[in-house]
Amino acid sequence: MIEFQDVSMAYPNGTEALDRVSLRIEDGEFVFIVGRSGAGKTTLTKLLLREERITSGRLTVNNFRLDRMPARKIPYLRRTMGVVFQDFRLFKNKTVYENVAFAMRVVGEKVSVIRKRVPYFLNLAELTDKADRFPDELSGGEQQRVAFARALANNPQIIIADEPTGNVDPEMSRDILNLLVRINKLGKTVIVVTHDWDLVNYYKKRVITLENGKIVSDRVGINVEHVEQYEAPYVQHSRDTDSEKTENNGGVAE
Amino acid sequence: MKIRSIPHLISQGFISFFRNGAMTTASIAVLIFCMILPGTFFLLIDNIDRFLEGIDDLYVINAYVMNGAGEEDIRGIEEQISKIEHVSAYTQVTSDEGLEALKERAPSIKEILNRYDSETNPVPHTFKVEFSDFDEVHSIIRDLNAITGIDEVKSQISVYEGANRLKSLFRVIGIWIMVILFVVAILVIMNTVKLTVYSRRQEIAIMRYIGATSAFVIAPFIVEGVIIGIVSAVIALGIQFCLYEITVDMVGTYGGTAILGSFVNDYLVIIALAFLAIGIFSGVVASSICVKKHLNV
Ligand SMILES: Nc1ncnc2c1ncn2[C@@H]1O[C@H](COP(=O)(O)OP(=O)(O)O)[C@@H](O)[C@H]1O
Ligand SMILES: [Mg+2]
Repeated sequence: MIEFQDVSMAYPNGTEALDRVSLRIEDGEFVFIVGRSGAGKTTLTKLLLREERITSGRLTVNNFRLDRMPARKIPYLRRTMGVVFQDFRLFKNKTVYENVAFAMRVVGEKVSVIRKRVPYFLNLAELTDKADRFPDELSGGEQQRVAFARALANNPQIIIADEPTGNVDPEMSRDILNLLVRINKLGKTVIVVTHDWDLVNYYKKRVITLENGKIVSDRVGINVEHVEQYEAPYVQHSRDTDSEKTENNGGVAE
Repeated sequence: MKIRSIPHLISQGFISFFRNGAMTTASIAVLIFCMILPGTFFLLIDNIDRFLEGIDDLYVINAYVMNGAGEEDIRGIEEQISKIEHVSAYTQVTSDEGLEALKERAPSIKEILNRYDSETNPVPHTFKVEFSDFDEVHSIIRDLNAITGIDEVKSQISVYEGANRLKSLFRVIGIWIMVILFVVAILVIMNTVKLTVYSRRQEIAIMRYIGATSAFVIAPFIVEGVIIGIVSAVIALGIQFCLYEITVDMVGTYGGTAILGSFVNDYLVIIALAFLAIGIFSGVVASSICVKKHLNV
């Protein structure tokens, strides 16, 4: 369970990245977090990991009160979340197998459990035949699947994916989202940070829209009215081609 | 950090140890000096003590009575000696006893000595004055010299004092060398571990993201420092042993007994423990400082 209560966050240089955000994500939910560049999406995920601290308010993640938690508890907080970073952050000097196994070793998992579980997750991510490769020998999509397998390795309650479709083609994007949906069906909370409107519209999940550090909408499907306000070319494009579909799919205007 | 993580963390430490070849070698070299130089001074000091123990009459002042003194005179002298402050005990060796003892000690000149009888005996009546405190020796000697009828006062105090001056000199030099080399060793090890920290920076950042505790991140660096310390100690012990044995050979023996102590019997354990302590301590200290400085953990 994740709960932001009136959370504001300012960087040391004074930039107000989040402004009185309140939201609650229950266990087992599937949530998109959208917003244009600089809206505060990455800051939000950094707060969840206690990579940054909130300036005011109250933040609870999986029973950890992040605003008043001592730093030594951070590792245990992070073990309850599996994060797929936009740049994957794989260990370059470890094979695919070792990358996944190492995540389990970090938490002190038994060797026998590691031997059993790693092949299971590699299979889930369709990487069984790539187990002995190094990250540099894999395509971007494959590296991302390694990141997924690693994020899942310690059986976290929450899976967070930051721009998972950021640098793959549309077909691959569907595959990744389908993988996330499958993970969600296992009972995990899935949070996807993205600005890929086509995808968001297609899945009709809960969508939280950030703008200038504020939540401007939080609803199922996409809020067309806010889509209209975006001037980025890709939004223009998606509106032109998919506007009809969007409305038909239940994008509800305010 | 769990117990079952320990084998992994130790193997990580070994990997780093072997990865930074040149710097690791430099660390070990400095640490070896940091051990051998104080070790050498320790051996010198201990052998000086051993030498002092070998000296007869080190804790005795010999007061020789003038030739021709009668029993009456000797009793008078004895009474005065018994009144000197700080004298803990005294014994007497008569001229005759002295002559016999001399014959025992120097069989080669026994023939010559046999020619003397109690009339012509040149060995003076001797008071062997014992004391408990070296600080008082000079005042005792002064008082003995002041007694009329005492011809000469002899002691080994100058040997004792000379040896002590040498000992304190060695001790001071040894400690200073150790302190300076220790600081240098810490700096060099810090640099070595820093190389590992830098080469593993990204890896460490990722480890943090996937929930590694500080202990899990730090442990391999400490292990690396400890390995450097232990390897240095083992090599230093070997070198110290060889140097000592060479010295023992050069110094040789006196009357069939070794002048210097035996390395294996007298020094091996204490030197091995001291070297390991220096090595492990500097390894742990250097790694900890370095990790604190370069990883904000
Ligand atoms: N480390 C930082 N220091 C100062 N300002 C930052 C930092 N990171 C992000 N910001 C600012 O905070 C705001 C939100 O950024 P971010 O959360 O990265 O947005 P998004 O991920 O939605 O693009 C932006 O104005 C950005 O410039
Ligand atoms: Mg971002």
